[in-house]
Parts: sequence; structure tokens; C-alpha cells
Amino acid sequence: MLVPRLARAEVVAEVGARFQAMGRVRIEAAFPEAQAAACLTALRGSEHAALQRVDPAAGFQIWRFGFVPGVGCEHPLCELGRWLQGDAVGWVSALTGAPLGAELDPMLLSDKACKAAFRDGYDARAETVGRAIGYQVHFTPATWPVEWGGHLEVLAGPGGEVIERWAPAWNAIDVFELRGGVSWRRLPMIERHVEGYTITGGFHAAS
Amino acid sequence: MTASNPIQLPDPASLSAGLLPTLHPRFADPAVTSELRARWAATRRMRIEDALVPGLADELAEAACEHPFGFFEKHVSEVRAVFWRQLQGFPEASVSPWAALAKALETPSFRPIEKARRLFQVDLPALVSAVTGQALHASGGNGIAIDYYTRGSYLDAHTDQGADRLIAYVVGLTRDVWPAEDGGHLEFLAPDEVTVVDRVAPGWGTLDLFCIYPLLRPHRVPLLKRSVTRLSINGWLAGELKGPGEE
Repeated sequence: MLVPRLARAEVVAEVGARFQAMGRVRIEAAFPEAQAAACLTALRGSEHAALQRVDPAAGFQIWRFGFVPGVGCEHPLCELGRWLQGDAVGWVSALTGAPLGAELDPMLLSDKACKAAFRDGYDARAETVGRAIGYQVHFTPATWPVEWGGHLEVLAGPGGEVIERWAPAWNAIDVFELRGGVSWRRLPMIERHVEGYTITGGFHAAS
Repeated sequence: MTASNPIQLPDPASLSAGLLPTLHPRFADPAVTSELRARWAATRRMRIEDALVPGLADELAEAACEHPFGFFEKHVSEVRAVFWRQLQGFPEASVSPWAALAKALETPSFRPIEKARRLFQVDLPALVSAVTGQALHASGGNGIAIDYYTRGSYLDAHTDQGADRLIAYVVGLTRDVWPAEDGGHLEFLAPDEVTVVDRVAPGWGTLDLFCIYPLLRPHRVPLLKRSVTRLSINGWLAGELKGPGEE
């Protein structure tokens, strides 16, 4: 599934070194372009349902699509999902140095970036109980300025200052630490019409 | 353009006789309606403050808050509107008393529904007919749509064009006040749908009127970035458009 370059030992070592230094790493040009384009097309055609509460204090309004990869199915999202739940475990274990097991929940989640989506401060670790390493797979065809919102913010703590911003990206994987370090996030409200999809999940520590 | 015209243009005598019980009594004063007529003729867009009979805005807002709002998304190739909406239908006269009772026991009733029916089907069309000189009647379904905007709500530019709609109205039920920079104010745009020509803050007990046809003004509610409550009842008045020189 990955581009062959990312399977080479020296590349895994280089990416792993960046992960060890920062507690996270972004891998660009992760999949062959045709496969990434097929995933984008599939995500565009998938009904992302709005999740929200009438009470604005609830603190989120996002559009989400959940899917379970079918065994042997050639749908681009099923192929991606099977890789994330299969070969990706060993690959991420190798680059993070963390012995990992496959995700227990078979469902994968895609969040759609669109106008009015937002999410107030949340603790990614608390939401992903038992996960050691998290990932985000990005299919955003064109990024946009941070002023438009939608760049995921890493916070020092609840209500804390912004330490870092993760811009939306095309055909990229973020791998990040969930066992320690900062885990508070915030998605500032997207103020323009944009397009992007992020598949989010993680891996448990091998038992 | 063809349209039914069930409501005749009220003469000043009917207004002064106090026949619009859901609207403010001052509209019975011919000088008031005359002033409104002049304002309308100048811009075809206006706000009338304290439009409702005292207490009715409170009744409508309180009743709306007692009922659930549903999430409303409008897609035109992509999401173009996000807000919350509550629909309240006017009870049908043909429904038997027993059926009405059974229905009432299922869900709590919208208490001021008869006043709402009177306001939106009779009094408001009559007042606006007198102000605009057009014979108008309520357009659309047999009920009202109460819209709730809060953080993350918006309505992209559109013209409201449809069927025989001539005039749009917004009855404001918003107590909160916030700056336009936080979004949620009604904006009228130039034909480029970008340049803001005029902006109207949400109001309480207000009646905003603007011409839909033939002017076709694009308007929008920009993304609301603040946790406030913007409540309004919106709708359209329909009629037959007069040609040049027709009275």
C-alpha cells in the first residue's frame, strides 16, 4: 500500500529518528498517487454525517463517516483500512520502536473538513483509551491558510497555549505518541468552504 | 407570473379599526403606515422596531424554547447552510376534536399557535400589503419555521427566489447582542455576492422586510463564531407582481 521508498530500512530509521525527537512525525507522499486519488474519490462519495449538539457548550460540530473494511473488497477505502489494520501495525512499530498490536475496533473513521466544522479542546489520550500510538491519514487536495481555521492545534493543556499546528495535507500520514507528552488538541472553526478528509485511528501496545 | 390573491389590500379604515391584533397598535395610526410606505418606496428594504403587540415576542420565543430544534443542512454541491430549525404546523380545522386531543397528548402544544397563525397568515400580510402597495398573502406551507443559529451556523448567499415570492420577512426573537465581526448578522450583498451593501443585526420583536422580486438581492448570514442564541421566524409573502403604471 505504501510507496516502496517508505519500506526501506534507512527510511524507516530516518522517520523513526524524527518521531523519537518530536513525539510525532509526518510522512508525506505516503501512498502511490493513483491510490491516494482513488481514496479521495471514494471519500467524496461517502456520506459524512454531522455530529453536533444543539447546546453550543457541547463544543463540537464535525462531519464524520465510519466504515468497516470488507475482507477481500477492492474498494479503495477497504484496501486502505485493511492496510491500517494489518501491515501498518508492523511498519509503525518499526518506526516508533513501540511493540504494537492491531486496533481492536474494526471501524475506521473519516472526518470531513468543511465550513463550520470545529472542535473545542479535547484530550486525545482520554478519548483513545489503551492506544499507544495514534495516526491521521490525510487526503486534503489543497491546503489553506491557518487564518481560515481547520489546522489542528496541539495545546499545552486544557485551555492552554498553542504549541504546534498541524496543517491539512495531501497523501500524508501523521504518527504521534499517545503514551505521554502533550495530548490536548483543538480544531479551530473552519470559516471558508474547503475540502479535506482525515482518517483517524491508533494502535494498542502489544500485549 | 400568476398567483392566488385571497387577501385584499386593507384600506386604512381596517387598520385604524384595530383589526391587526398581533401587531403593535400604533400601526392603526395612518401617519405611521404612511411613514412606513415612504420608507419602503425609498429602499424596498427596512426594519420595523417593536413590530409585534407587546408580549407576543416573549410568548413566541418561550414556546420555541420548549420544543426541540432539528439540525438543518442544505446542500447545493456542498453544504451551503447549517443551522437549527423547528417547524410548527397550524392545526387543521378539519381534524376531529378527538384526533386533536390525541395529538395534543402526544406532544406538548406550541401554545401561541393560534396567535402565530393570525400573525403570519393574516396580520403580517395585511400590514405589508398596506406598506408596499402590493396585494400579498402568506407563501409556502401551513405553518411556521423557527430558525435557531448559534456557534457554527451560517447561511450562504442566495436570493430567496421562488414561485411567486415577492417579499421576505424576518421576525426577530433574538435577545443577545454581539458585534457583526462575530457573524450571524443578516447581510445584503452586491450582485458579486461578496461586497456587503448593508448589514442588519438580529433584533427582538423586530420585523425586517426586503424585496425578493424583481430586485433579487443576494443576502446571507455569515458564519456565527460565538455561542449566542439567534432566533427568528422567517418567511415570504407572495402575490402578483404589478406591471409599470399599474396601481
